Amino acid sequence: MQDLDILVVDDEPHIARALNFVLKKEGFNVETATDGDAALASIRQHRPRIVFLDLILPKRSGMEVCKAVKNDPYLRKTHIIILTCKGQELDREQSMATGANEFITKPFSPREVVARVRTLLATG
Amino acid sequence: MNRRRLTFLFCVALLAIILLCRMTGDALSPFRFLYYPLIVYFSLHLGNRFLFLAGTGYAFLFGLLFAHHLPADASLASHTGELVSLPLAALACGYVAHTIRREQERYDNAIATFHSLSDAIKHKNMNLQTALDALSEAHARLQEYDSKKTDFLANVSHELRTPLSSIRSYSEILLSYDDIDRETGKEFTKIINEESERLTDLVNELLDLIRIESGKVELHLSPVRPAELIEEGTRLILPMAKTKGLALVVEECRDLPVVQGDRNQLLQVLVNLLNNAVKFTTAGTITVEACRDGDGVRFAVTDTGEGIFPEEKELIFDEFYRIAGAPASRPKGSGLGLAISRKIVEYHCGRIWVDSTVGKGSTFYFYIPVAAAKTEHVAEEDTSWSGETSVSHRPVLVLSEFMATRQVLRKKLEQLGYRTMGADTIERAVRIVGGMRPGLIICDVAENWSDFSELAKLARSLNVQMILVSLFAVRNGIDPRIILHGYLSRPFDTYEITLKFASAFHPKDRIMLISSDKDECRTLQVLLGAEGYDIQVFADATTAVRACAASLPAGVVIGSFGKATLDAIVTGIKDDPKTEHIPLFLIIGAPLDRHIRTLTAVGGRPKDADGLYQLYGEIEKTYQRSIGEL
Repeated sequence: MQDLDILVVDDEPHIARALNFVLKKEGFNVETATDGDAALASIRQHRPRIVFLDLILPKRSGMEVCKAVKNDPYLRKTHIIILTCKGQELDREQSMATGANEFITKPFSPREVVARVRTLLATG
Repeated sequence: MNRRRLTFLFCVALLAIILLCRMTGDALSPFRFLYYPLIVYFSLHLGNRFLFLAGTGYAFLFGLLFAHHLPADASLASHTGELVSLPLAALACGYVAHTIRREQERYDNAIATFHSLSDAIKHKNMNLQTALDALSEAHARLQEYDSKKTDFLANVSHELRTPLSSIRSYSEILLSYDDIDRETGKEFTKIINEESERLTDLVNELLDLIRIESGKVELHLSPVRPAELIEEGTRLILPMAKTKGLALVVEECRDLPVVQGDRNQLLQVLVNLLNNAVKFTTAGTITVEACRDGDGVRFAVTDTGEGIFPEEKELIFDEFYRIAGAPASRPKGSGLGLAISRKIVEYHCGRIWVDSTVGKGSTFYFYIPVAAAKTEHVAEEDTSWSGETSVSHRPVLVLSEFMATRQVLRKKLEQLGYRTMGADTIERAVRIVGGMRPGLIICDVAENWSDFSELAKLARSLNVQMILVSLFAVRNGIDPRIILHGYLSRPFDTYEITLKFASAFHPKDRIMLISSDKDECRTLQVLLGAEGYDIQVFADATTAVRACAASLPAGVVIGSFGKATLDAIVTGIKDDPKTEHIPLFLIIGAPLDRHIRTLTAVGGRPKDADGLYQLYGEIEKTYQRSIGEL
């Protein structure tokens, strides 16, 4: 069963921490991961409903993690929000093609992220 | 064969036939038919009027000589037909021969026109090909540049957004929640502060890099003492090393030479390396040293950090390159420090590299040659320099207006082990030579450089040798022959010209002067006229080349023309077997002396640079001489 609301994956510790902080503050169940392998292991173990995923990650890129999740019938329903600095159109198209659900470009507003998560979790 | 001789031959042949007929049966001799091929052959060569002459001549001779020798049993009537038909047939043969001859002439004309046209096309084609090569080369470079720029912008965007994200997130968090405890609040403020510092550093380094890349950096050269540089560098970095608990050791060789360089920029390189060493080392010692290395100084910064993988030793000097798979906890820089350092070192004609063992630490080296000005150390060391070290250090400056020429020469020279630099204008060359003393200047004088003498003067004052090259287009591809006999320098020196001409020409020889510059013409006309030469002046290139083939002068002097015209004149004269041996002199706008003593002019399309072996031989020799004179 799902025991986790949200997983935040980012190799920049400051950014992971900021997201972790605001989401915890809003009462969500949050975990963080700093590389692709750890992210995939955590997704398989905790089955989070939402994953914030950076594209540039050590060991396994965000794109690969996204593909692995979307190809797994048990994990397919995980809502993946791509979180990246590269504001290029190509990245957006590629990540959408691998099955990502949303795309947020850094720098982002934590408040907006919280609002988005709230609606997502409320609608189920 | 001329006409008179042919007519004479015809008469002899006709006489021989008559004699032959006379001996073998007169009018009925089978040899009488020999007349037909005879008349056909000579009509072909002697033309229309000859026909009537030959036809009537035959009838007359035949009638006169053979009529009364008819055999007794033949009636005159039976031979009247032959008497009339033979000359008529002869006339017909002659007419046919004449027609053939006329057609032959037309055909010859057409062939000649065709050849000259196809030559012209071939030449045009060759020029187009050369232009196309240059264009596609330029295109490829632009494309490469463009994709580099795109990558650079993507990287810059990424590097700017990362600290910006942190700043925005934490400031918004601090503004949104009132219930954050004091400790956490302070921590967040600290993150904002650190990240804005990182952003500032990044912007500064970015600006540095852009400034260096755009070539706007001027080196403020002054004598720099390596010991002072190290002292100041360590003083700046010491507080940072102390906070991390690292020891900073300075090991210094004695008797280091003073290098010629931009003090601030060299300091930036050293501080950069020290900064990296401190940043990426958790425990141990940072060692700085400077040693004498050949004709320069080698600085070394050694750390006891994590080390660098062999495959990354080159890559780390690229912009925004980060060690692959580095853990998130690893300190982050802008990724520009080493790229900037490399640029600065290269501006000083030096080299930067790294030696490293993973897990044990790295040593970053940079080598700066003792540059432009003479120092006592250099004078002492003169004799001990081996050819090899000097070849790799002082760059060869290639000056040509044409990118293709520059690239071909530079590529070839680099293959031969030289460091090279390029310049497309005299102004740029003067700036480069002023900033640093190159080992040799190769100057393509195919284009008439108007203020070439300024560069020559500067090169002379720095004791730098120059090689003048004229690369002409030659139709048959590779052609390494030397095609210019020499240069005449302007302003004209009577002594120099007299000396050069006396060895090449006899008095009263006809010299052709091709120049569109009236002053140049008048001066040379007077100068050479006084020496007793017969001067022929032409202002237009095409007319001159044609006249050259017609009058075959003893020598040709070519004045100030653009590259295309110059090419046309030189190839026009050298491609015609009648005129190819004629010595050519090119007028150039600078006085010549021992610093510009190697004057080589080589033909061949710049593309076929491998064929220019003589040129490379000259370069090698002159480079060694130039270095030796330091």
